[in-house]
Amino acid sequence: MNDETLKQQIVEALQQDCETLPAHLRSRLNQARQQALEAATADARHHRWLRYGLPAGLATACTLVLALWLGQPDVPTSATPTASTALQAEDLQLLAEPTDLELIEDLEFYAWLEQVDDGTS
Amino acid sequence: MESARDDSDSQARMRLDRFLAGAEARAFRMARLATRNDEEALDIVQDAMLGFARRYASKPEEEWPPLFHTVLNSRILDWHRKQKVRRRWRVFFQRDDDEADPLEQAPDLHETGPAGELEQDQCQQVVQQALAALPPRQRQAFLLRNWEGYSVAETARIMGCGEGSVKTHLSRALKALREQLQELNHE
Repeated sequence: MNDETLKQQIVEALQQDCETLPAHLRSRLNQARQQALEAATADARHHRWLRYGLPAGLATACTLVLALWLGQPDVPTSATPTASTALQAEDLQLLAEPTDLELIEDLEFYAWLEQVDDGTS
Repeated sequence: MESARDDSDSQARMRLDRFLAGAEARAFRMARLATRNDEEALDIVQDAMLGFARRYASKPEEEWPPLFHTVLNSRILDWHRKQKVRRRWRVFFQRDDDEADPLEQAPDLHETGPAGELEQDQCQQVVQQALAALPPRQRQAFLLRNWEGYSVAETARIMGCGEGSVKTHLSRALKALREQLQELNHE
């Protein structure tokens, strides 16, 4: 028997064996194939989302942030602080100074003093 | 736009389904020759199909067959490696035990067939035994080249070795098969 005939004989035997594969094995192979197909479909969707959905989402988010930032009402940036900010700064300064702890303790007295001053002026 | 995408998805799925359906029985047979066990062979084929579908389904269709066989071949080699490690541990723990490898002793589930097809079954069995007795890389080279019909260069690429190695594997496989078949036919 020459090499070609030998190869042919082997291949034919293998082919016949595949054609007569028992039903339970065919069914198991079919199940395995369906799982592979499901995985491929899910992965394709995931890749599509990563390729198109993610950049689109990021672009939308950037546009939104930009619109909000540009749409903000103009805040006056004058060199002199407004009355309220000046008062807040004064309060903070008072609280920060350790020497004025007595003032905090007698806060009620100073509040009364202020009322009295307002009444007389 | 969404329906066009769905159509394209379902067409891609159908193409992949057709390809895998055409390859699965031969892949199973190839894995079974290596493992001599249906369950192990099914696991290998399932793993190969999953790996292929996940990694290469988006590649052009004409590239699928060699890619699928590359994945399958790698899974079969992994199985051999694991078996080698298991065997080593078994030898280590059962040095005094003369127990033979259970895989070698496992009955062939395809051993019996209907009486009318006895001759055909015997021929298939003899071929399977001869192929199963080959060293893994010789068997893979023989099956990929002669059964799947890949060229020597393609077989080398799938097996991750040089063309010279494939030619050596093929020539040794053929020599061994001839001897094995003659021996088995005489028994």
